[in-house]
Amino acid sequence: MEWLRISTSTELVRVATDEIVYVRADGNYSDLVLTNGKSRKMTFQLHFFDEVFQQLQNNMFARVGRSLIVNKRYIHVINLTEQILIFSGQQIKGDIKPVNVSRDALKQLKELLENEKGVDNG
Amino acid sequence: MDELNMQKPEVPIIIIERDEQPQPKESVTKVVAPSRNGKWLKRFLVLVAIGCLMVAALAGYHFWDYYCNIGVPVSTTPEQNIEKLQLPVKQETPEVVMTSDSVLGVAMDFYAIHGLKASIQFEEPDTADTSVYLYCRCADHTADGNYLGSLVAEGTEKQSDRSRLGYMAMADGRMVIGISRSDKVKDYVLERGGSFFRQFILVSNGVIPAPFYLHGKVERRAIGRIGNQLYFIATRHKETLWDFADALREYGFIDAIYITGGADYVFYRSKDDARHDIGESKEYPQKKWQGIVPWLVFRK
Repeated sequence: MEWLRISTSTELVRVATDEIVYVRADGNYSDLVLTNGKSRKMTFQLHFFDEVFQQLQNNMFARVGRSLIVNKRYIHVINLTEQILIFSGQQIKGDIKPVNVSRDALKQLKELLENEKGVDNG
Repeated sequence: MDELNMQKPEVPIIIIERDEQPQPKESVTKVVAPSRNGKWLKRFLVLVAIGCLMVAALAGYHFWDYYCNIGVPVSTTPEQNIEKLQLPVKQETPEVVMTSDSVLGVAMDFYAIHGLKASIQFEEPDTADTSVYLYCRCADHTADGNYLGSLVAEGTEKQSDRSRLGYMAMADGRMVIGISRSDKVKDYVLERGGSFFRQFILVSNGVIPAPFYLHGKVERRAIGRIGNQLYFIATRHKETLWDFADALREYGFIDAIYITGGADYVFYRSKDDARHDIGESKEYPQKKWQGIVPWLVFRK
């Protein structure tokens, strides 16, 4: 289990990486969306998350386009036609609304997940 | 939100905590944005790199332009001219055959040089010297006696200057003209005790170079080549350099280089040893620049 301890000039946020569903850029800030359905506005840019996620031992996060980082374990549907990403999972307790993402970014995410090795249960 | 929007983006400190690690200490990863100074340093280095690339490109262009680009096609390479100088001397009756023609409105006398040996000397030939079949001036010089363009006289180098690209080389009884910035032919001639001078290009491989900086109308002279036959050419009237070069090209000269002193007195000798004046004989001997003017002398 890994946690992020995020310290800014005005607050300290501590969050388990498993609880992060996605992080979305909002101008110079970032919206951190958690499994409980709550969203937290972080006063720094998205790339700081991207950099720290790469340091995780079990990095489940994937960059989707310029403005989104998603936790792959909560991806439920990638719909290229409607250009939306739907999240679901046992840990998700709150209401996580689908996210609109560009078609190209979704296509890349789809290919990434398709090419990942699955667990052989046979 | 409004209050948040008023803030500038921050640089957070994000630490990864691992509670199931065998190590008692937590693993810490700090994410720190590049400092403002670092950012400017990076930009400065990029600018310096771009500047260096531009300087290198400019230097490369100048190198190419100075050492490779003559601006006209070249008929004979220095190596080929050296080979020509190494060939055995063709046995011919020594003579200068004069013909006249008018091309593109430019009246010219052509002096075909047969069976003669050329050299450069600083004393004007005596009109009574029957060994001299033709002579003329060759390299230019400044008022203080410095030669413009390389000059080698009888194995002695008087000047090394590649500012003029046409050249004439003489060694071992043979002579060639050519167009090159290379000093290979000059070095060969120097070793062999021959003579060499540089002058403006008038025609190179049947093409006239684009710019001519001398626009006045005076009598013009040149040394040119049609096939392997060398000619001394003199205009009968005052001509611009471009008109003269164009007439030479039209007449069929492959290569031609300028000869200074268009109005100077010189002479040529016909087969019967009779002397024929070119220019005003009252100008003989030349009083100015005695001992400095290099004379291109053709002897039997």
